[in-house]
Amino acid sequence: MTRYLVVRLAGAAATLLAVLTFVFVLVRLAGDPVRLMMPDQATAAEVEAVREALGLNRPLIVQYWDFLTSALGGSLGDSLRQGRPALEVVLERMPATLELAFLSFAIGFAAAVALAATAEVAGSKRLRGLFLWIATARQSAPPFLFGIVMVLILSVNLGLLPAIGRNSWLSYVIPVLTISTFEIALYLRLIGSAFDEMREADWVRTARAKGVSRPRLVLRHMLPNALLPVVTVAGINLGVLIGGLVVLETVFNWPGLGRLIIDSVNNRDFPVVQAGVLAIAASFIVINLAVDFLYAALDPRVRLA
Amino acid sequence: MSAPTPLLSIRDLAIEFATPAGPVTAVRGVDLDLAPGRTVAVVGESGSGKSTMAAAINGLLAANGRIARGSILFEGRDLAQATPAELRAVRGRGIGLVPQDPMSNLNPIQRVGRQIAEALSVHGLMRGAAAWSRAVELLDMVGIPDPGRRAKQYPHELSGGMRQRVLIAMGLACRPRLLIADEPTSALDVTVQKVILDEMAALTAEMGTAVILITHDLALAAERADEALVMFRGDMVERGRAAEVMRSPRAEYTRRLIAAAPTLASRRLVGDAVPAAAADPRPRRDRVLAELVGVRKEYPGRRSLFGREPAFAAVEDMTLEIPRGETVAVVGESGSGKSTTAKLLLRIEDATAGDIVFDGRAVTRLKGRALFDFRRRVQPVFQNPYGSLDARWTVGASIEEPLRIHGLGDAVSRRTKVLDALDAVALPREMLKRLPAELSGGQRQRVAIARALVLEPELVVLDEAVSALDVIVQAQVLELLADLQARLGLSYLFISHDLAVVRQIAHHVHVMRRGRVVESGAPEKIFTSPETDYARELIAAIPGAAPRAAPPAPEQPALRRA
Repeated sequence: MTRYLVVRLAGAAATLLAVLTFVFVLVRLAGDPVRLMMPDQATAAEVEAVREALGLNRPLIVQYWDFLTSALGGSLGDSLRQGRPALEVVLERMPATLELAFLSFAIGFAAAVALAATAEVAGSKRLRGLFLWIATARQSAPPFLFGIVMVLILSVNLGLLPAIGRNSWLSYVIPVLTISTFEIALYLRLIGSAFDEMREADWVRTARAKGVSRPRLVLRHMLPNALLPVVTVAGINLGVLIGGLVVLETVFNWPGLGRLIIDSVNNRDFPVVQAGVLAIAASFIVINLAVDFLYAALDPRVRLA
Repeated sequence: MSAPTPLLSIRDLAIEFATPAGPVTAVRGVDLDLAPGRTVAVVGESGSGKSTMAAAINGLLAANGRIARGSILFEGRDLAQATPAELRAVRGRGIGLVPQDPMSNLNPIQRVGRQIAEALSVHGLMRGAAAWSRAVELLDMVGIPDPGRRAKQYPHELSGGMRQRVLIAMGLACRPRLLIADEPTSALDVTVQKVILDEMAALTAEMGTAVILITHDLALAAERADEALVMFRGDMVERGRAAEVMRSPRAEYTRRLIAAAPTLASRRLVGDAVPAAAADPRPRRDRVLAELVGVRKEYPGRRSLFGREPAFAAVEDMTLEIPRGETVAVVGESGSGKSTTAKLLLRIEDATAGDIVFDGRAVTRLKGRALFDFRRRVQPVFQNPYGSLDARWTVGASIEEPLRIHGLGDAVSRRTKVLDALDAVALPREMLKRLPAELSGGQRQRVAIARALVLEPELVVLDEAVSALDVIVQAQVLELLADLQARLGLSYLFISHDLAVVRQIAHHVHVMRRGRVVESGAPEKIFTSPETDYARELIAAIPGAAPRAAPPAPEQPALRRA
């Protein structure tokens, strides 16, 4: 167990190092950072002065080493616009994004489980088909479009909810509704096909032979088994979701990490972009690590070794 | 034959399955009477409808199955007409089930104690801690040592025999009046089979539980049941006192079934071995095709908190030789190392130590081109004909593939060879375009043999190659193998758990246990005067006068062609 933990943490650290390197290379591939950062009418002398000040005139390998060591020391440079440490700027915005992602994910996942289990308990293919049809229809509308339509109806026309921002719990409703309903179809499909596979399984039949009722069979026996393959997908998907909130945060003017990154790209505030990308990568790694442990906890056949 | 107050009385039962090609009748015209505390055996091959009939009794037919006609009176109530809720109340409480395959019949992520306790709690008999302690008691009753600890374990932590005991405990948890035991021990080793059947019989006798024993094995039925009912392709062909059916069968099919079952008295299919080396004038290299000398195969131990657990030796100090044109059998129970031996000779696995020689060359050191040539000369046939053929490839494509891989011949000559191989295994040439799903188990295994033969190998490694087949088909395939050996001079390494089959086909027998050969010799010698206790135990575990047949493939009544 300890050994497993050490191995996995070392793996996570290696991944993070790879991401750091990637970010370092990417920023330099995008062109001369100093040129990008400076106003177009800056003189060559001004550009050179900034280059000097940021240490960007040194050999690449030296810059890389410097970048790595200061990153590992928790410093990712200062924001060019705000003059504060970039990491601080990013961490400030993290909670808004994580709240939105986790809340939407949890609600969407729970809804999918509830719908799949309801259809399976009812033993009705038609009901499941109906659920899946609605979920797929919803999923075929892109979130930004669905979100805008929701704002139009619920805020502009009916005046029930705030349209944008993050001021009260009411302001969560539309973004969460938009993202969580988008997630349902995927999990409904995954859990449904897991049910299909085990419905005629020997051990399911044996459980029925004990006199187990259908609701109990579905909830106590089939569902825990069906969730096993879904958990892995859910972990990856949650990571993707966090990164993908960039667009929606812009639509809803949500003060999260995604909007910060977009603003920073527009403002050419590269230290903040770097820190933001790293933060998203780190949460991806942490979630996957958590999923591995969760999987081992759910499935006794998996040994953490 | 029927008792005055039958517990179960089945009349004119017919069961249909809805298939894309229209309804298929899987069972028709079955009558059965069972008095409290008695045992009736339902005997038949795969596809005979025996398991389907059992599933109909407690309302567990597959989704596309239905009772088309007839009645199933259980304690005076017709289960064929019962509502789902009524059936659920009867299942487990009135009618227990012990299913066939212990590996697939337990929820893999629930503790076994909980699964047993659930049988009690769903019927409101006991709950919580009381149900748990009863589950532990039940585990003790079915002969599981340290039941308190075992109850907390998950299925994968238990051996097959222990899992089957768990299933018996589950089936008997509510002290049902009737127990349906569907091939309860077919997936287990012979020595374990006997113990478990004895335990099950003792428990049902003590509880006064009547038993329906579903089996493919007539000898077992004769030994364990009061009455027997023989089924063939959905029809009940014979019914009577079990011992009588075995002794003087009336139906033609029952006679064939008895004749095909390999016994210690069956006719041997091969001649005796060529006399020992001393009498053989040929040099050793011409006489021996392959040999293993002092071979050892180790698997590394599991990593644990304190480094590695010790390595596990699957095969230890294995020495055997395979003379040209003869069959060498390796017999043993699961875990004995017999399949590992086959894999080592095939070079699917590498030996840890020792020498493996084929035609004078060290197999263990072959690589590249030489290994590729070796693979042409040694071919495997595996146990499960349902798993060893690609479901999307036609029979012709499957048989041709080895020729393509080895770049032998052009399209025309390959086709000729494929047709010759089909002829050799006595399959009609129309089979060429068929898919495996359209073939019976026996036909599939013939295709697998044809695929092995098409390269004209010198050695064929048969790993439980007839074990999944029904006895009548098994007898045909064994004859085919003996015939091919006589005509083509093939050598076989024949891996099996079935002593009676081995006796029919082998020239030399090696009995393995826990990775070691414990006894070797000519088949007649081992069967008439076994030297070790283990060999004696294996022979004694064979039910009745007639040794056991192999377990059949799982039933798929709606799809299977008989």
